[in-house]
Amino acid sequence: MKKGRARHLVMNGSGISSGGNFDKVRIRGDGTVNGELHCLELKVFGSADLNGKVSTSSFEIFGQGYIGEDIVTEKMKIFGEADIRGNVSVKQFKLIGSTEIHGKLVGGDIRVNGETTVEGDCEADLFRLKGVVHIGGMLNAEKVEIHLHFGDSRISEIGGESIQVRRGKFGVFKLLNLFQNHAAELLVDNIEGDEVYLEYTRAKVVRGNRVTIGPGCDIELVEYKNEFVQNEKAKVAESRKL
Amino acid sequence: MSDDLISKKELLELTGISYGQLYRWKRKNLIPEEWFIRKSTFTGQETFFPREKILARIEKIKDMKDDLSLDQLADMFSPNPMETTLNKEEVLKRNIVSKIALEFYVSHEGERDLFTFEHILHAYILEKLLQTGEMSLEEGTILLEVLGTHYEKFRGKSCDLILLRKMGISTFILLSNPSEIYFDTGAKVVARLNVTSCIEELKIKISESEG
Repeated sequence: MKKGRARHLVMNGSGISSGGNFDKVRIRGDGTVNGELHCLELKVFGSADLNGKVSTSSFEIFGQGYIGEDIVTEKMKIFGEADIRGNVSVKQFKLIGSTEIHGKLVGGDIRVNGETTVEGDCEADLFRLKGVVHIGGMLNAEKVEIHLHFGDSRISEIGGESIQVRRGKFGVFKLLNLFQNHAAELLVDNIEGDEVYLEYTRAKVVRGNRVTIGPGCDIELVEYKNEFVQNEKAKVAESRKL
Repeated sequence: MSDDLISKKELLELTGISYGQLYRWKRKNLIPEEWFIRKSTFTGQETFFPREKILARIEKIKDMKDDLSLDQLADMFSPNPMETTLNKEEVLKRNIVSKIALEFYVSHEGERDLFTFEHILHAYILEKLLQTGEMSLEEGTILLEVLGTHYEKFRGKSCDLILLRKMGISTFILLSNPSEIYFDTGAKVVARLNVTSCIEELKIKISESEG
């Protein structure tokens, strides 16, 4: 894509475009794009239906977005809600709100405040989440930090170097938690990492070099290499040193 | 088949790598997705790997990870072609393909100034099969034809090349990998070559001779 030469695409109010190559794309109000969209910068204020592939350097949604196919971008910010039917490949991903991704999420830095669902695998260097998460496939990240809030989270497998799961304690979230008698938990089949710290997690197998099982956990089997610490409020059916 | 597989636990013990490293390498595509084989065991799902392939791969990664970045390593192991083009002298001088094989290639595919990675790959496979004595020159012609017309369909994917002979008639088969194939008893599989590992060898050869 040649920079500077491409046109801008601006939709104010309500509009339909058939896509194409652009420099900047702005959707204020309600916009629909049928077809592939390539641009350097994509901003949505309001609501957007993008029915083709999207490739852009920066992608921001303030409001609501539906993307029918894959997204390739460097930076992605969602304040609000997004429904993505394809795979997402991104370097920096920031979400405040809720997102549903039907494919894979592959990224460098993934930071989520809110709720996110990924039906496929999720890969990242850093995966930091406060809220609720559902991952149908595997979560594979160098560093996983999950703060559980509101409701139950579900991930089929977690693998990485450092894995931390805590129950969130801070700010507004705690206030809201008071109104809910239901406590947030994480449900996982397998967790494998070098350093593992878990709270309020139910898992079948946890493997690692240093494993700490904190309060509220219910683990069937822990296999560890160097160190194993179990909180008195945790349930571990079996633990083995390798 | 189970003795050809290695469990994740055993693999980590044997190679001394950590979960973090294994998952990092998987994430960076140094270890292909299809090598992660899931099986149910009494502790639930466990992951297994093809023993020889994974051990060889991890040795290679350990050897090279100090000199190359993980992304460079991933390029090396990916079935995608390199972006290099070399001229005839370079190919010969750097000992990538022998003169005989290259001459044979040129005589069938035509003289050219620059060889793309794919051209070199075809010549390399040709040489490999000729050298082992498994393939005659005449069959080499068929090989180049098969690779020339069909290999591009497998570009970026893993595939096997099979040389089959029956009653003195030989034929080549390109097969996506992993997949199973069976022949009648009269047919003899003369050679089976994993094209992806050829690509890997060739990439190492090219990048080594560069430095």
